[in-house]
Amino acid sequence: MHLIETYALNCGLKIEKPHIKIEEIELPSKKYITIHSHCEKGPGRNYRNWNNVILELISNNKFDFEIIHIGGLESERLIGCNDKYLGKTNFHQLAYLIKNSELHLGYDSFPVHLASHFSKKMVVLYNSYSQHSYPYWSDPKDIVLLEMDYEEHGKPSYSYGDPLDLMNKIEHTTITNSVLKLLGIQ
Amino acid sequence: MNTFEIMQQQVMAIHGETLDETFKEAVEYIEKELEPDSGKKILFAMPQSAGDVFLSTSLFRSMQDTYPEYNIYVATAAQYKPLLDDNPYVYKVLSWYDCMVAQAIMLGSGIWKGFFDIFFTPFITTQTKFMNYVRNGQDRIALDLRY
Repeated sequence: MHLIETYALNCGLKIEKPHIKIEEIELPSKKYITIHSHCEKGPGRNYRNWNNVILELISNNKFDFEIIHIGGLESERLIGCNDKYLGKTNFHQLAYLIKNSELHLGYDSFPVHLASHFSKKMVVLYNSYSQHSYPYWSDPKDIVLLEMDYEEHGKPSYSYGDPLDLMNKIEHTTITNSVLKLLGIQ
Repeated sequence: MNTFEIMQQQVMAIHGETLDETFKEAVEYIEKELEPDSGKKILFAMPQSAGDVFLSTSLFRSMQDTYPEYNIYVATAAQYKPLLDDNPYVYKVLSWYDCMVAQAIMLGSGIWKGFFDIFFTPFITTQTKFMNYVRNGQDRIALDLRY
């Protein structure tokens, strides 16, 4: 059951589209994807191979996108990413930035739900059952959800720490290939 | 007798003890925020975080349609309040105080008439030690919840 379905059932209500105010900001000059790498709440959702993913993407000569790093200022800087927006967007500006992106890449967090609202393509990493927080408003053909087999690798911790470090068992090449595939790059 | 003193009296009558003073600030805040509104009121509480507050906005049209005669208030932590800016279904956004979770304070008990007519607290199922929504990702829903 998705979180919003839990909330809807608890309140006896139906689910429509979410709502957010949008505030225009200056966008990157070329087509871009967004990446949300850092979880400030704990290490369980921090993937350590983002730099490998980025390097594989930008080394593909058919990948002609800027990579916009989003999140807080405390985020570890990633090679080859535009950090101009890092820590500098409010919720409304972030919505505008994601709305105009070609794809969103990141872990299970608020920007994923924003991207889903705007029907963006996305690749999302999970360290617990994606069924609870998948991009609810997305077309399944537009999304790739990556998570380990919890029966094989161990059950989720349901906290921001994760002794099994499940998210970091996801191969970086799987992430890269998923991004390229969704962008139509072989 | 002010609102807090009425609550104190009710708590004393039921539990034989006084209401914690930490409630006082919250009670005075809510009372002030609700003062201009004499209509029926719903409070929807989602203390945190950004994703959950944003997801919750998808319920507000259904809430307004189901309760057209009520004003919808939403309580959340200060940093998430901007997520509710310009929401056409939300009458007012309140700052979340942990003591708001007390249903008797929000809805009334005995001589205390309460602040709100309806109080939704869906976060209790996902954000507290009473979390009960995780079912190994295998549960299904027999109802159509889409608007």
